[in-house]
Amino acid sequence: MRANTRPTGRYPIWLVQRISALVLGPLILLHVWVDGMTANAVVGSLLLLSLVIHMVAAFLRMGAERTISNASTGLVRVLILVIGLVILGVGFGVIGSLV
Amino acid sequence: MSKGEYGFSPGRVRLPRDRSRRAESFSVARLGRLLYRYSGAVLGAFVLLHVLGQGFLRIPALRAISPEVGSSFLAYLQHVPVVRGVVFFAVVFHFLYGLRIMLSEVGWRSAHRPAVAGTVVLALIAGVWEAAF
Repeated sequence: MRANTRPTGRYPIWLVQRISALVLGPLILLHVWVDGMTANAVVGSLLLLSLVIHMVAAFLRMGAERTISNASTGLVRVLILVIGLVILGVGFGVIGSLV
Repeated sequence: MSKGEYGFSPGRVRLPRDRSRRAESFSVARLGRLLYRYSGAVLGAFVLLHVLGQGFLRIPALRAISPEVGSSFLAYLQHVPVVRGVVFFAVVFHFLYGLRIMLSEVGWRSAHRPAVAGTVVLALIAGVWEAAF
């Protein structure tokens, strides 16, 4: 593998981000374009989980790449974990209200 | 100051200057990376606001805090053409550029300039289409 395409960060995080990206594409298409899928609990739950996993993995990898400064890495990690938890908590609350 | 073994003073070695300024110049690859990162940030912000808006609309405990927040969030996010255009641009660009990165990791090679330009054009078409129609 060439140096400029080598996975950065720890390998499992890179793999998790790629898998969540592959899952996200079809789920977003279903959520946006297929009638009735916005209220589907299974699609909604999978979409929420894969979105948050993809987001958190991206920020963890950015920290590992040192493309954001060391000083802000810790702060950004805490912030992104809080945002992820808010999205999961409120999102599953919304899905629960639709079922 | 005494001269060193090679006839010059240690600490006063003058290296040839790099006058090319390549590191500071415009790079299509850097533009692609920046757009990829900012489109991801736009999508993250949209998801957060979208989920919060839906929460304030549908979860009784949140609706009790402020009944208007949900409807105003959703009205702004889902019906303002410019917002829809920016979100669609970000979705299409992030999807296509991410796909290109993944393909490059399994051995597919593509030149930066046409790939970034093509991705930007397709994302712009999607964004303008969504905002205009």
